[in-house]
Amino acid sequence: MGTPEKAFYSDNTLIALSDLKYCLMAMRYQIFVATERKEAILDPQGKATQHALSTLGMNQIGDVRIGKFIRLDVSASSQEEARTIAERSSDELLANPIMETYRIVEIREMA
Amino acid sequence: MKTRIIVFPGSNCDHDAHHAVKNVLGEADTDFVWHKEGTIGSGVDLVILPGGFSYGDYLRTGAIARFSPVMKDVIDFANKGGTVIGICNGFQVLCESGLLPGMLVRNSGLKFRSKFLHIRTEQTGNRFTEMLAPAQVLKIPIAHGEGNYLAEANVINELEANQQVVFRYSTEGGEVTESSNPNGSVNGIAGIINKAGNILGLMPHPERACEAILGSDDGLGVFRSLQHHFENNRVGSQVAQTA
Repeated sequence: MGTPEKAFYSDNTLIALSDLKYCLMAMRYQIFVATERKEAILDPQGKATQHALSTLGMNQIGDVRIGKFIRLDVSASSQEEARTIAERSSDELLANPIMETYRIVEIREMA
Repeated sequence: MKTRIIVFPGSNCDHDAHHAVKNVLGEADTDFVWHKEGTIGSGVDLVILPGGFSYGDYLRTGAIARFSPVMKDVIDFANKGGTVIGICNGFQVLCESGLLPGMLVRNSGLKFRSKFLHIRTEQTGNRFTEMLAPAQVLKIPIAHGEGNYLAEANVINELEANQQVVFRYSTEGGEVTESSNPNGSVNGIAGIINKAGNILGLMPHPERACEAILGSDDGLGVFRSLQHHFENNRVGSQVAQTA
């Protein structure tokens, strides 16, 4: 690895140029990812919750599935880049493809 | 048998494994490796990923431990043919790391199950069970909430066809029945090896069943098999280590 290009803040703090570019150009996004178990896979938490709801009298609810709702605060140069980062995170860690699917529910641009 | 036991934040069976290998089996060169270490060291014969609740089971069991610094070296060691056992949470880490297929999900009965039960030895042609008798039934404890082994149908078929299912939950008499299955695992699977036969993952705790005074010493068979394996394959078993 070579030495990164350097730049200085006005107070002479040394920072890498790549970081400077990142500070100037990045937008901030909030990305909401939902993970869910595949239909074929038993969801015992959902089942237990459905039982509890029917005890409450909510007999109209036939099935409950419980997943995870994850918020990522992402700095990226565009919405597309932010989405790619969220997708890669989901593919590699947030969801296990053996039993889960995920959806990017919303991408919110932050001020 | 140079043995290294990986300690993650939340591991709680690391000392049981250490006691079993060092004091009961008598292997002096047995030590812990903290997960922040970059390497397991050189000349290691056996790596144990112990039971527990690494990273508080956050996200999914074993999902975060896979990214611990030492895991890069463990995965490298395993891929070069090094011997690795993942017990309970260690099995979950092996699945999340992709070293073993499938994954472990919530027990079908929802409850955390902590009890002695029986498993039947399905295969004895590998380094982990070579000192056990075919179909030998072991009395051994389990203690898990997520031990329900799951994989796609073609993966299960392949595991069965390749004789990679090493242990199944059974009755004391060795019968695999629905009621002998504590967690809903497909085909009563309690432990599997990879195709190359150098990685074992199992939910029951052999390290907790190494002394009769603790209820059973049937688990010692797994560690004796490994001891036997390394004594007889001293030259071939050493994995070339990079510095």
